[in-house]
Amino acid sequence: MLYKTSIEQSLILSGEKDRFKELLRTRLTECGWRDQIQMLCRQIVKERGVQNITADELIGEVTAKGRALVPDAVKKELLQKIKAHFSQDM
Amino acid sequence: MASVEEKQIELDREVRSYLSNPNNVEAAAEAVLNDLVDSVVLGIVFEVHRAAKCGIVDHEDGITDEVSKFEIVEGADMDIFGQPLKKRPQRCICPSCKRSLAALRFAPHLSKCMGLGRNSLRLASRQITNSSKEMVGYSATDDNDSELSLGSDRRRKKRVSFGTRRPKNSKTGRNGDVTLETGTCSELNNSNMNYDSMSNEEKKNLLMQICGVISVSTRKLCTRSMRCSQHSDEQRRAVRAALLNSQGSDMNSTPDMLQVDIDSYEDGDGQSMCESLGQSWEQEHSNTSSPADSASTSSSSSKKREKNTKTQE
Repeated sequence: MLYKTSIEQSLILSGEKDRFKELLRTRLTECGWRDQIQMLCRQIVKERGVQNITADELIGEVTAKGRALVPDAVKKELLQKIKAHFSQDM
Repeated sequence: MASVEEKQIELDREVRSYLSNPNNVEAAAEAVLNDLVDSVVLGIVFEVHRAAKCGIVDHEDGITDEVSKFEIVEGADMDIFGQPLKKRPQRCICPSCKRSLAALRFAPHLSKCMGLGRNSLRLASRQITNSSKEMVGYSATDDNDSELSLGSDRRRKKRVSFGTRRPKNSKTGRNGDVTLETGTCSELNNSNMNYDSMSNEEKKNLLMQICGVISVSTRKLCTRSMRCSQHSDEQRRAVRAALLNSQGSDMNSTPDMLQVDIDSYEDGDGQSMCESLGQSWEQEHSNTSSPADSASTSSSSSKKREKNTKTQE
């Protein structure tokens, strides 16, 4: 994982990261994942009370679930594109 | 700038060498994907968090609640709001008498119950007197009452008869003094007032204030003012003369004498009696009697009484 930051940097520099992100966002919105996460957030806020929750707590709770909830199809598509980018670019 | 480009080239080289291994490519792709997902989640979380803190979430929930509340209700005997068709009239509770009234009747009732307006005030005070007996002794009464020193029982009676007599008073349409005197009148009637039950001083006081002529039919005192239109000055004079005269001479025979005298007078032949009884009084008493005459009445009658006693001696 030494190279993680380097890869990240190269992706940002090439502008590919924004494109991937945009693609991922549209895919997730299409499949309803976005709404799911929103509902999850609201539920947590309601349970804890609006005054008793911070953004950090919310992020900590939602991130793990968010990763798990991403549909396999979307995951596969993105992975494929990223790999293609790496192999083609490098 | 050159150094930046150099760094970029160096970075590219590093990445390429790292990604030459297919396993590394797999792991790198996975990491990149997770990063992307995380950033998207972060965006959503910020959005929701902000909405929650600003109260937008509450608003959205509130709207959904209200929509469900105003759904149209289907029912046999109710309107679309789910309320029964026959609406009961709204009820108000009177703060004074604690009765429950229809809202439309509330204002008239309140004016009566609280005693706004002349007639209503009387009715209200009557109700209060009837309901609480202990208040009777302290209720405001006019001067005649205290002078006559009547019991609270009679006063209460007066209050009761007050209400029944009221329409007559309003018909005459005179000022407040009249009603006050009418109150005294009914009181006297109720107590079957006669001169014989009074002391000399009481009679004098009474005669200074009222007409005092004894009527033929009811055999009661006329309690109107000194200038009442039903009786003439002569009648009044005759009564005073007879009363104070008989008092001086014979206490026991007073009532009978008096009543016979007055009746006979009213039958028509009282003129001679009047003359015989109070000549000196008549001299002092001018024909145009005014309210101020009450003082002279008492003084003259006392003089006359002295005279009468002298003559009888």
